[in-house]
Amino acid sequence: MTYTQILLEVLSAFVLLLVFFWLMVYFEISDTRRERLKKNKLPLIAVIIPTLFEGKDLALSIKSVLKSDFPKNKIRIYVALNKATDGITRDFAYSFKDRGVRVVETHLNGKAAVMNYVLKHVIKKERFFLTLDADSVADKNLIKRLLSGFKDEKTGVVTPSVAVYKPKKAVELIQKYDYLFSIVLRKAFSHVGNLLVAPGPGSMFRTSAVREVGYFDENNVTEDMEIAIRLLLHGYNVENRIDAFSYTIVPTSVSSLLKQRVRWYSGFFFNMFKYRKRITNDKRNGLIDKNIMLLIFASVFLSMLALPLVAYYIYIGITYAYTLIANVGIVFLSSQIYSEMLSIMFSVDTLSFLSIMLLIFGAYSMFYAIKLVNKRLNAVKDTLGVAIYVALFSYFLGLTWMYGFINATVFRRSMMWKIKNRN
Amino acid sequence: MENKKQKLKRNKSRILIAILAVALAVSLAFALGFVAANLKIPSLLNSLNQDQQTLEALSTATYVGSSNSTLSCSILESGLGYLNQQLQTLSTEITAAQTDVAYSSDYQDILNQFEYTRVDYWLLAQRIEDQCGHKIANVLMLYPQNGCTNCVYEGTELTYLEEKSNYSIIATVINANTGITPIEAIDSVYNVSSFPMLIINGNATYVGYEDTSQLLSTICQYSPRLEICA
Repeated sequence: MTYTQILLEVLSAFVLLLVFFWLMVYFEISDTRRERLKKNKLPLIAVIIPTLFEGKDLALSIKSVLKSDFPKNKIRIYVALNKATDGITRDFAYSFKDRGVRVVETHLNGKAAVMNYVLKHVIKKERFFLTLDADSVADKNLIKRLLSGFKDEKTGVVTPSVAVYKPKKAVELIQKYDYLFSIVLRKAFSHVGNLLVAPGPGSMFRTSAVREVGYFDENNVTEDMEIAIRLLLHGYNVENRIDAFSYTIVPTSVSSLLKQRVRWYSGFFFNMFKYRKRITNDKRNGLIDKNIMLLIFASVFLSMLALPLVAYYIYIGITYAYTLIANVGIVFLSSQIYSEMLSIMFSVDTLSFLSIMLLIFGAYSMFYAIKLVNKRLNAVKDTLGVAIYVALFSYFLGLTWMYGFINATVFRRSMMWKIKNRN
Repeated sequence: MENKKQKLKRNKSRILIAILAVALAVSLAFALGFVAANLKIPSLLNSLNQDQQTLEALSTATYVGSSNSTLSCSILESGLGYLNQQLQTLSTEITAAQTDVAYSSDYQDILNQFEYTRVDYWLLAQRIEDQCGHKIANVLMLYPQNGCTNCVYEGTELTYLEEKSNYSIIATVINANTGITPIEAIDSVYNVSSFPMLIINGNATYVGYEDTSQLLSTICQYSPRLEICA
């Protein structure tokens, strides 16, 4: 037995461990009971929409909040303008003034900075506030459902299920499945107490909790991740409502998608390095479970490890095929491969059985996640979607995780410089 | 709402259950792997015995038809070609089966027996080549246990040339590091130290990696009477 064989068997067993663990959590979260809110006890909610260059997408966001089934007199919409916000976006913001939308000129730059401005200087009575990115859309019942997630005073934030807004292009469609799996995974993370992000498109915060932990970090590229970690460290729960939906407009080109993901994953590692001492200290890590953090880290590093392994085997395969096709021709090579395939039964071994189990349970967990969110499965469409996602997007994710890791470790200084310049 | 202690406890038990489930799954995979490994052995052994019998029959035929008649040579050469294909198929199967060798000591025996058979086949091809007046090219390629990508390419090229020459080129591919006596003898007689090593009609010729046309011209140097060399 070769060392490669042993390594692959150990890796397969570890991936199987992750699959079993999360599948177990998925089974626990499948039952989502809704609690009815009493109409006369509904609190005043602030909706903060930070905006920069979103143009007409801002109008879409504001309209979606105005269409909410939450009582209109209990919602206050604040559109927070950056100093750098362009004229078109400003015009769209001011066009909603007659519909009760408050436009806040912050004279600051940076998403966290403008949100903090609204929280410090504008919001007075609102016990809860919803952040809504200006390129995202709130579902009609988003506010009600998120609010029902605040079960006690120690719930700091309730996060939504973020889905892709009207995907059309191939790049958008492939992200649809990524967001779909993220929905279930985030619910699972919140269930085990380690949800490390309160996404910009529609998270609802307890105002007093955010004030207590010191507002959003203005020197962070992923302030939505940082605030969630800080809330957990201060003993506030980060909850998730799987049935509360918001929709986000996703990047339409591979390059912009790459930029977005690199920013997210760099931010993840950046925040992990920032809080590593507190997270690993049981007395100071608040509600964070370091065992689960270990599992999360192992998954991330595994996805990064898969990348060079796959790249190596692709390189070997291409070199082999190229050299032999040049020498013996494609017809002869095909016949050789065919005769080797006939002997496939002889190559069945422990690793084959582990791979089969991995395939079955991995596919099952993916389809289970789809069914949990969509309430139904389309055998052909979803199988195709999952196959393309696994074959293409998972490697893209591995690549961006790796790039993010390098960015947050090697290029840490230049990242800080970018943050300062952005703000 | 669950407090932190309860949550940690529940997470720990979840991880423990997952570990137990994985232990079960891995044990099952190993058990199935063990069964599969032991199912392969009798089938490989059976094929090997059949090939050995064919080899023996062909060897006997060389003694019976000892004169250099066109008819007996054509029968011997076609028999050699047929056996070559059989051995190639068996070689693919044995290579495919080698992953779980830890489960079975029988596998190593099969591997050794197969190498003996290949050496016997090469010697037989050499005898037929001598007997029939060099109408075939008998090529032995030696490769090391590990680390010779060029050997993989050259092995496939030899198979291609065998087929293209309608089996007037007969190639035998042998692992030089198996440590069995006849191969050690070949290693020492031909002073094998670099790979891929070719022995064409009993002449050792190390040329390193060659593409198909270079390989053919090297073979034709030692077997100029082959049709494919014309």
